[in-house]
Amino acid sequence: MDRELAVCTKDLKYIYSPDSPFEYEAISNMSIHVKKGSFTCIIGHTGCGKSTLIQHFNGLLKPTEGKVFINGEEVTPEVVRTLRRKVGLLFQYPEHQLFEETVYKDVAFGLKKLDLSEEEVNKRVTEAIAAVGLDDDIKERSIYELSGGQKRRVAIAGVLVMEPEILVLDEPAAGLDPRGRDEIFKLIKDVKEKRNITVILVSHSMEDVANLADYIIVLNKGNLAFEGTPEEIFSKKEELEKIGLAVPQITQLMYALNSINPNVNVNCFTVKQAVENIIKLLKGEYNAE
Amino acid sequence: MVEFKEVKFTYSQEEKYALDGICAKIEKGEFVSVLGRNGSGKSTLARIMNALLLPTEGVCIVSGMDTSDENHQWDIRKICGMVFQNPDNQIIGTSVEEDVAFGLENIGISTAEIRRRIDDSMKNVGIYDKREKEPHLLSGGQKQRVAIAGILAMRPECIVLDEATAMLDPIGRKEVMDVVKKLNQDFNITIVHITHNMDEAVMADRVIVLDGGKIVMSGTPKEVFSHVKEIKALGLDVPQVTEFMHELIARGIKLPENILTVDEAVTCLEPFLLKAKEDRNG
Repeated sequence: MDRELAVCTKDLKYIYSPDSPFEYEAISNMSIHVKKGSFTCIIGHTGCGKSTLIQHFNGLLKPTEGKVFINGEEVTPEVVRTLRRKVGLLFQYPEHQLFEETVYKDVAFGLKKLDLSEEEVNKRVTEAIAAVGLDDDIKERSIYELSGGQKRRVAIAGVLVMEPEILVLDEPAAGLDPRGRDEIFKLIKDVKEKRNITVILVSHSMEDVANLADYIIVLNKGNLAFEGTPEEIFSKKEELEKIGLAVPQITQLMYALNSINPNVNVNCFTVKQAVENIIKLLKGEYNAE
Repeated sequence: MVEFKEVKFTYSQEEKYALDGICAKIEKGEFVSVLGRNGSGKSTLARIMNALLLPTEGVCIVSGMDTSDENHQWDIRKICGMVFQNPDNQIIGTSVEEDVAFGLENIGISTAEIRRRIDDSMKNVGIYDKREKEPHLLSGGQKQRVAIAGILAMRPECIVLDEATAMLDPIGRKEVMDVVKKLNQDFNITIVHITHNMDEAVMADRVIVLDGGKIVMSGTPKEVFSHVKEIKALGLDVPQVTEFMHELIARGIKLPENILTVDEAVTCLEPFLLKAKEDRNG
């Protein structure tokens, strides 16, 4: 398989509780492609198969049919253990999964099985805590003393400490206020740049996806609807609406303005792009005034 | 409907106040959105309203009753229902209709009356056709509507939604907000909606912004969101359209400051765009 792809699935199918009254096909047939070093966002309504899909990336689920490749290598039971070090997976509301007595112990937990020296463990934990923007003296505190936002960061540190090549995050900003959301996304972008890793992010917010992604995978009812660059995906306004999604609000506005003046560029997905486009368009008029 | 008089609340003696002198009145039939950062006191405020928490200082009056008066607390909870963030934490019935009936079964209402009320409630939130389903098989938006139906069956005057849309996808959010708007308009039920989503906050008659346990802004969505800089300084956001218009104004285009929706923005920008088109063609 293509070694340029961090993650790739081929004809993936997954059925929960097969041959039982609760049998449920979560993924019907899915072939997706995530390039190495990309910031890929996965979007789709509840029940579209997002969470089922990402659990295949580190071998938590085994395909009913089809194949999953990580860095070009097929995921088989033999490679699952090493896979967990390559692919860091952060679930929704990860702060509910913290359980150790202190922040240090919780962040270090995943390293226990790696046979590292105490010095190396210490170094990695210190780096991970710094990477998520927490003060070093938080290490010895109990996780119960922390705020929701701090706990979320500790949970992310617990994944970063494994130094994954591929970081998979399921709605990391859910429940956070707007500034908290911006801070978490900035932190993820910084980690991606510094460590040169691939990030795969599941989100419901088109506005967030437009601000972050360089590649988008759209799922619908257990199938791949589309994958492509933001330009390619957000140009499918009607198709997205048909499957219960929407382009960002600012893009909706640009479509409406385009019907008044066809020189308005509908390929604007962020407020900044839209402002530049409209200013450019109106400039003639202002020079004349 | 609800009145806060100098309400202060602290979770423990040493800590600072989670609510620090709240004075506010919410009128019957009003739709109020409450915004604020995590830890600003929003959820505490919600819990004060149905006597899950009692003010450390000051009083909260709901429908003429003091929430601190133990004799009234059950009445207050009937009048002022609450929907929480996580749909999975508030459903107990093994079928949708059983869950909706749960509250009524505990206040001694006849079986026939229960049937009538839960059928009405389920129809009003659009889950009647799902009444025999197991709740865990529903989507998040459907589960939250089951929770709302359970409250509705109690014939409330007020519904408090504590980030009830936070865990839902865009369709689920819309389903819940459509139901909330309908209950507000058709039944004059007072709505207090706590949210981080600015596009939802815009739907309200009034927006209250909390910061550090104090009310720092209060007004119509147009009034509150025209203060783009102040809102951002509080760690909050404005709708994308509002931010867009604000930027254009900053770049010298003469536009009104208080635009909240795509349609309003289109109306304001239309003359400019038509003129630009003419200039180009001419």
